[in-house]
Amino acid sequence: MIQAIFRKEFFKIRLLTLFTLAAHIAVLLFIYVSTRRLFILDHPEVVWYRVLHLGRIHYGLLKYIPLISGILIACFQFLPEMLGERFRLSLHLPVSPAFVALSHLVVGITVYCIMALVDLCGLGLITGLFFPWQGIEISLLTALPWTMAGAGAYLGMALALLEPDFRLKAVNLIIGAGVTGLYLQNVDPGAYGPSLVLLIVPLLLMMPAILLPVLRFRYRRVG
Amino acid sequence: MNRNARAIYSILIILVSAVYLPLLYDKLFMDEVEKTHLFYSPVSRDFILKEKIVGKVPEAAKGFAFDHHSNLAYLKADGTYVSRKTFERHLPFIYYKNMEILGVLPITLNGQTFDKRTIKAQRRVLELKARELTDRYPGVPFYPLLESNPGQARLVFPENRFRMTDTQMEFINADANIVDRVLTEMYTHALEKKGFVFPARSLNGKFTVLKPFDEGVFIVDHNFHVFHVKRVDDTPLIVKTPILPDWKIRAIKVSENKEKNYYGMALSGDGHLFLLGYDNYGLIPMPLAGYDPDRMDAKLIFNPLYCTAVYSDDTIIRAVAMDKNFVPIKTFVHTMSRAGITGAGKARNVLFPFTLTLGTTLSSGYVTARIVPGTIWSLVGMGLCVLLFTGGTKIYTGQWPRGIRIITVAVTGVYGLIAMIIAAVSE
Amino acid sequence: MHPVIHVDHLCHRYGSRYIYKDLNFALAPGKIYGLLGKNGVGKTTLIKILMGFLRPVSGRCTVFGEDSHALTPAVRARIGLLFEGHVAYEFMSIRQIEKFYAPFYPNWDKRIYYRMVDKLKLSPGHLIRQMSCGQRSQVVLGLLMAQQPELLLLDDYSIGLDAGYRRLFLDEMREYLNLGNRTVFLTSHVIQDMEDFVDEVIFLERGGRLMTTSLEQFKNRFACYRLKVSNGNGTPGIPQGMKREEILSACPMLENIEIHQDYWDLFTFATGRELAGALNTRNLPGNLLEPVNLSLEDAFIGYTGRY
Repeated sequence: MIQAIFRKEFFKIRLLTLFTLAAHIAVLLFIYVSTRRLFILDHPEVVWYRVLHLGRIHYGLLKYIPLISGILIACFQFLPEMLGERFRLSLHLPVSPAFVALSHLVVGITVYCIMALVDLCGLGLITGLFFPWQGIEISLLTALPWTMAGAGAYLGMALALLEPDFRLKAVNLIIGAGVTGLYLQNVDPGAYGPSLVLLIVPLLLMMPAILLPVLRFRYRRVG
Repeated sequence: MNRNARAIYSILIILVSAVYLPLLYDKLFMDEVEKTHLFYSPVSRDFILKEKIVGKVPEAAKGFAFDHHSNLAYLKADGTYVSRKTFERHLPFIYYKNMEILGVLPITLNGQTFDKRTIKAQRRVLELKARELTDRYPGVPFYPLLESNPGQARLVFPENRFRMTDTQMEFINADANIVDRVLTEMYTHALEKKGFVFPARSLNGKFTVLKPFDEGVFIVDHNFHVFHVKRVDDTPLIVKTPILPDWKIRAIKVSENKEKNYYGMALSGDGHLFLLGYDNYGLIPMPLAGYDPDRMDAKLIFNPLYCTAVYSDDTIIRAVAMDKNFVPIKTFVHTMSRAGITGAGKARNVLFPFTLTLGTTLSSGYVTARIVPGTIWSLVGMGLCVLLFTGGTKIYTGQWPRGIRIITVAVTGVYGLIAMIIAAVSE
Repeated sequence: MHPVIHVDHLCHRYGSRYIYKDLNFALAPGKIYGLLGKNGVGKTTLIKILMGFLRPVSGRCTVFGEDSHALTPAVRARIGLLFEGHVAYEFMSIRQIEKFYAPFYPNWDKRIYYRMVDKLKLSPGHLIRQMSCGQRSQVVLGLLMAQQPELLLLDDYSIGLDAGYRRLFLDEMREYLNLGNRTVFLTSHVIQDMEDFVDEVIFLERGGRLMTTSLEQFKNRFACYRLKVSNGNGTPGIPQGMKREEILSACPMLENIEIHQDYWDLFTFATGRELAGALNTRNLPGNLLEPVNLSLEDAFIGYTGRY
């Protein structure tokens, strides 16, 4: 049954997800070209100084890409479900609403994680072409909170889209924005390092919180 | 399932509120006050300071605000307010350019006369901030070893950088981004020959070309021996310094200066601060009572007559004025104006029982999550929230709220109140 | 025999506006029920409650013995829902949507589904969003029937369908229902379709007043009598200036009066003689009543009113 839901979600979002993934790859290619250009314009040791010592990172463009992707994936998944309240079709299936909600989430999170993995691997590869592993390490430590922000954006958007009450939709958007903002502070590269594990907690909390709008949609929606 | 989801949702609301409501309040109502600037005046032979006044500006201060905002105060150690010009005249070695314009230079103090050139040559500031310590900021452990004898005025970055591994001083060539085996073996062998034991504990230097010359790096080995490593004519010049390993040197803040008196500052494992001298790497202790390197920033201000050590945490600033032999002359302790609580600050304490902060601090460049508790006044706010919640629930629904909800509001104050209101709306 | 649906003292409101305060009815298994009522009386609200997507303010609505808003998965498997507009996952194809639903239902019979959709003569890869309303309704109906539910709740099955597809829908439904003990509860705005389809009609009126009757009984007993309006030249009829309320109070057996320029139509469950007698007592020419033939739609409008 979970396979059926996965398949349904795959059919629904595959094209748009592919476009988004293509956009990610385009951004990564741009980062590669920009990074390469840094080394054409200046001596490598000077570029290393600027990037590694002064913190003028070559991949700043990537900062908000996961956030946008998270929002888009949630929209691809749940906007069609909200149109004409099609989500009722899934909620009427003879399985618990929690199963329905969480399986949809698993699909979205998986798709998002694939994109995040592409970003991180791409960033690692690009950085590795020009910098030693310390450069790769710091770039990944810098980009990891951005990908967590994207996960927060996905979950926050899902919370908002699934919520039938417009007042609580606004509250959920604020929650999503608030959680997402935790990961996007303007700090030195790698500054989030020690807190990354702890910062998974808000994301973990948001997943079961999705049940509430779904349950309200299913059981306690007051017209 | 429903109940658990509701509880988790409320926790999320409390979390987000506890982070952002205080932030919003601070942006709207709280002033950011920088640390007090504290100096030792060679003119009055006493301390003098500059700070932003928090709260009501005293009349005495307003009288001296001829050419600046009256909430910026210049005052002597005894609390007497002075004008900006008087302040600057008390610090001729700092404001020597203005003194020159005023025709005060050359100045005679303590029977000695100082002109602009002498003042400029003997001025120096050495600073060690808490967040600069290796384990307190996200640095990249990958360094350039500059050529100390470049044969020209300007220093240049070498084509390689090095990193300390468990067994080697490993050089990476920047052009090819590969290990330079020759350099690696050369320097590793040279270090080991001098008795260096890997892995290194810390690596210290000033990694910029914007300095008058280069004194290389100081590397503390696994047994706390300090090695001075330089690159001279592209070959390693390594000195095993006589600095005792018992000091367990934690950090060395290198700062090259043309006077060539001191390499910089050294911090021992037990929190003592020293000047690291050129004379056989002698350690000159700085008498900083109560100095905690993990919480405080320290600054040594040199001028032709004195050396003043100024060290501070978030609220208290201390200073020790020393003569040229680093014998303490005078000390001063001052609670900074930024520690003062304004009306907005008091209201903040009542409103927020605690604050969840996520960010860097003055003493750490890492993003850390902290719960900052309120004060005793926060209990008032929490009590008010409980009253509001229970009374409001009774009025709107005709029933008293459930115990667990009252407890939530009691413990989390306004954050819990918001969460419970939203829970009520959702039901 | 336990009712399939049991509504007991049901009360629902939107804000302070009550839709119904004390709604009660029960549906026996094996019959086709049509819910009729004017716009705004609460038909959609009721069907949402039955479908379990709206929790009533008070009272109880049970389906197969369980609260409709808290059905267990096992009971949900016995219920087929048709949402207004033949809502379906339009991003899927004919084949994909069948593969989606099949694993959830133990009694799923894909042959039933393909028997329906094959009539469309479209390829299995044809996307649902590329279909017309009528074609989509066939797919949705096929999915419903392949599930083989015991209870079908159809919220306005006719919307967007032309006469041909509506007829096809009902014919297929009829064939399906002949197979076993199945119950249907439907709403529609196309009254004449119900004439040859439903067994029982439930009239829902504003405020929650409800009348349940067999279609046969309703058609046989509900009648319309026409009475001309007097033109003032001494011709007998309803006097000019007569108020509707006067006749309603004189004839309490009247359900509704539709006023036209030259005549009034009087609707009642009573006989013509009873009505004539009541009119005569108010010096109105009851003997001039003319019976009017009614279609089901005429009867529905006559019972509920035009506005």
